[in-house]
Amino acid sequence: MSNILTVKGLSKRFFGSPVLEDLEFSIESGRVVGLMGPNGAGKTTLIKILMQLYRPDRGEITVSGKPAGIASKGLLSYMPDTNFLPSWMRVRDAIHYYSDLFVDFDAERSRELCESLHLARDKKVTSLSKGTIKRVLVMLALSRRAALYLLDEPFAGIDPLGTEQVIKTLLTGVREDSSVLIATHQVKNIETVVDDLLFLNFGHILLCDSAENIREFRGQSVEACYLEVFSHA
Amino acid sequence: MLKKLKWDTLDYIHRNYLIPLGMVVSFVFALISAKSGSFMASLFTDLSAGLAFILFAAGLVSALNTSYRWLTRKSHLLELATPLPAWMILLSKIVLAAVVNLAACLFILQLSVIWGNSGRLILLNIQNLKGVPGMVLLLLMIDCTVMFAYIVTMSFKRLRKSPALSTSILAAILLIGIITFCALYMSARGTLILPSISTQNVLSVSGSLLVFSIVFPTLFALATILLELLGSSILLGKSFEKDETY
Repeated sequence: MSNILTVKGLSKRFFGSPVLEDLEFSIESGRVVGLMGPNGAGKTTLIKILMQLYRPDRGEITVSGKPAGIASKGLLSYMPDTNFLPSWMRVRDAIHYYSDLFVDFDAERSRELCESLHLARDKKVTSLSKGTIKRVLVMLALSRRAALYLLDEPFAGIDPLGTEQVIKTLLTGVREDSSVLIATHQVKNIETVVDDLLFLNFGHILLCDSAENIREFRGQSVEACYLEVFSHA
Repeated sequence: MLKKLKWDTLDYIHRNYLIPLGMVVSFVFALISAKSGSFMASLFTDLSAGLAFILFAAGLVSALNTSYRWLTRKSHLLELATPLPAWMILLSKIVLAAVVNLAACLFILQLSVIWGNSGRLILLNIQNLKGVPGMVLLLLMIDCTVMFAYIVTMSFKRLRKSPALSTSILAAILLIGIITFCALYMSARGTLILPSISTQNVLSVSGSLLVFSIVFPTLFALATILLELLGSSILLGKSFEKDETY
């Protein structure tokens, strides 16, 4: 399998404090990767650096063999941890915006996702509940035919039913030639979805392994492994 | 680029719909004054004038906001996540700011003509429009300078700590520098025209605006706008960083 994302020696400091330290990892195509760690671990910073919203102090990032730049940005589909849609937008406006500005946006897929995630297209985004806004953002991100989906806290604020819907969407919606990086600290939610795990703590990678290895060789669930690794960190 | 401009325009209209709405009301007041008695005529003219000057200022401020304030909102993440080059994103904002500035100038000029003709609808002529391109260029240069100052501020770690102060100081230094250089150069060459405003016709503002009918200041303003656009694009693409947690 080819690498969709390769990160080498990535470091970032904010006002002198290290946030990410010499990160090295890669993501193969067709994988769902859980980027897990407690609050302040550096998950959002890492995702924003991958999206070129933050600049790394050191390190190299390549997406499908392309160095970080406009071309590589077009291969990434980003869902931030907060609502980034303008306050006046309705769901259908957001869909039209994506359709106009992202060449890989699939309108048919967005229609399907609106149905499966129970989203009303004529509702104003700001009038929706926090959980529904998250589902709108998931719908927008997954409606693109991107190489890598970067989802930052997709389950935060969603009720169990909504979480189930998002997980189903992830399981059915990701193509074999693309990958997903999900940043979360809600381990239980992604136990059934993830292929690989990346545990991040204070900017350091504590563990980078496949979920299969953890279950087979460690004899642990992802949650048990998370608790063990982070309690000794 | 056109699609980006379309969405920027929609965003502007949704955020500032009261400005064009107020402009229409101001026009209606000015036109009603011609059909009213003397007391009502002066009341409507005063209302129209009061509203017009507020809306003119609001139009200019909204143009300034269009050029840089979008970067202070959470929705900047959406705009910067699009695979568009930074120059294209900024050019779209600048084109929109220019159109808003132009609309604000045309609005106040057209109303001046209506007031000057006792509320009769007489459209602007070429003579009235003479100073407009210069005025729009000057306003756009100010907008671009503030945008450039903000992007510079958010591109350097030390400046990023106090963005409002750094942007204000940097924009003030740049604007004073640009205007001083231009004035000194022109006075040295004997081409500087002092501003004069005719009291007979409110529209014949000359000097300060007609400065831009001379080649040097026009080219200088255009070059400044282009350089600031170029500098802002490079910084936005390579070192701009902003987070609400700062």
